[in-house]
Amino acid sequence: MASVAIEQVRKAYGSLEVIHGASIEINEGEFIVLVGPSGCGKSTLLRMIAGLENISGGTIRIGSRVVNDVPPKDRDIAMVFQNYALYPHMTVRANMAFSLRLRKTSQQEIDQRVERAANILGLQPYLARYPRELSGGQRQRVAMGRAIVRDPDVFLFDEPLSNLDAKLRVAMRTELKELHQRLKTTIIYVTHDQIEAMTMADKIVVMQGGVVEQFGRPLDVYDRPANLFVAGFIGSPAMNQIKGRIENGLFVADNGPSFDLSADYAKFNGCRVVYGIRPEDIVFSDQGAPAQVVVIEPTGSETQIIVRTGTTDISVVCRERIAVRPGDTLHLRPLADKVHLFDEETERRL
Amino acid sequence: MAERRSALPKILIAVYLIPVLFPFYWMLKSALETPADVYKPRLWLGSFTLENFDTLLRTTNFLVTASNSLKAALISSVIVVVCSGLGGYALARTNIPRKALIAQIVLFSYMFPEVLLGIPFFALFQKLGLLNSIWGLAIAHVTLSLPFGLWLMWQFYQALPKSYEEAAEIDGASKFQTFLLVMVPLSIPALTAVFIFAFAASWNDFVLGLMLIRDDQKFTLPIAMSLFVQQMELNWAVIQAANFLLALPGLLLVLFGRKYLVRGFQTSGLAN
Repeated sequence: MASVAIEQVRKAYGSLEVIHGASIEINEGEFIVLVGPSGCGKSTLLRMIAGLENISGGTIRIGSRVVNDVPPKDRDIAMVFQNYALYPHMTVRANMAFSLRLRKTSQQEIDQRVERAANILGLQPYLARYPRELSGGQRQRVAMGRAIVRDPDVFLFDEPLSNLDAKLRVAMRTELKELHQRLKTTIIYVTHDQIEAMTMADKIVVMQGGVVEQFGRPLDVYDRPANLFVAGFIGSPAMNQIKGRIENGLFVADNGPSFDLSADYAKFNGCRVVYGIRPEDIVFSDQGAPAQVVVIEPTGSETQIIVRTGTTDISVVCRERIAVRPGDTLHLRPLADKVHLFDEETERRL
Repeated sequence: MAERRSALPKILIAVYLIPVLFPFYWMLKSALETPADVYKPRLWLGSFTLENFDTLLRTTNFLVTASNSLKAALISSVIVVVCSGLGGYALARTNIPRKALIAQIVLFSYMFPEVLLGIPFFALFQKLGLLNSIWGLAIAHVTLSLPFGLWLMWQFYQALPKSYEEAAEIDGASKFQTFLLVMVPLSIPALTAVFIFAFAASWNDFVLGLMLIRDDQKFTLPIAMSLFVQQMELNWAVIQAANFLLALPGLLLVLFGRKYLVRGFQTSGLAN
């Protein structure tokens, strides 16, 4: 395993810059997830680390070596592609052994490594099969097996679970995390699914428009989003965001109620802000602001209720089952110590 | 009602097949009848004999000309397959300036009638000493199918996900190893389609063979066939036996290579 350092990396296609100076420091053995909406540059950044895309500026180091101009085969990385890219004309065994054969590894060692990877991933019964004879989950495992046999310094995963159904995706998520705990190899993983990012990563990199918006531990990013984009992107259901101003230690929404703030925010009196509160950080209390129930979405383990106060819709999640119907009135009290405030102009956290 | 609806396409296909297959049937029927029976207006086989094939093989240079045709077809088909594969891959995956224009020009050359191609070939081959040579004819035949082959392979490689090559690159394969070990096996259906197309084009060619070959020992089958009509004194039974043998390789290729042809055309976006 090796550390990976990305320093002020840029990527431009002609005059169009798509990665604007990304910097990330990844320690040995860490599981890093690059997450962001489609087109944010996460896959491009991963492909630059792999050497499949040229770098327009900046430096990428794997271990202590600068790899900007090192071809992919010499970077000691292995990559799992979104469509797995298993060679359809080769059996599972041949797919897994392909890189070792190219490196002229002895047959005995090839067999040992393939057997070991097959044992780890439960692929023994499928070694003689062709990719077309495997299910989506099995193909996914073969793609991982092909990466494991190389025993690389860094694993790169490009949205590897996006072609699987929801149930299998959850199962493979657990398997991947378990695999990482077992192999302890550095993993850089790309996904647009923030649940995948939160559940698997040691650290997540939230990207938007070719910019790293925030880099940190999943719960730190969740608890202290650096800006409005991260606040809205991380968390499901998304954080409520209400525009307004701070007056006399209270948040006053433009078209709705006012909410308590902690004393820390008193210094921003008179400022225009965006008030953020996660749906699970709102409780019902008789002293709270009245709001009308619009939609109720029970999921079994929790219930999401959309309520309207003034012209503002607010999402509330409660663990307990609640007997309300659309049109009923509830009284909301956001927990003051869970409030996030963002500058309306810069969208940065206050 | 549903049954009637499902039967209708089959009936239409059967009706369509009658004029398509009848000439083949008539050719085979005539080849298997005695020369006397060929002229009797009968729909079914009047007599059965293999004598016509025997006469054809004994009294004409059919085998020599068939072997010439086979040589020319194999040489040209192999050249077309190799050039289409490499050229199509290069067009699809390298940054050649104005490559779309190049491909269009190549396809444009496909629009020339064979006679127009034959005249410059004649002049050129005369100087190169390739006139009256099976190799020269094979090279000329390449022009009949290379534009189409190149176009088909270009489309095929464009449709293949780049991730196969990228996976091979990360696995440690050079560009040539990637092409040989990954791309070529993946493109076997399309290459087979190109081979069948090129083989048929060369095997059936008449015009270029007539212009570029002078020695009757080097004639290809279509040219020899035109001479059989005089040689056999209008013995239609023997001529039909020759026709059947001429059509046989094409039939067998399409029969056994059908799935590759369809898959090759489908993955190149030339069929749905």
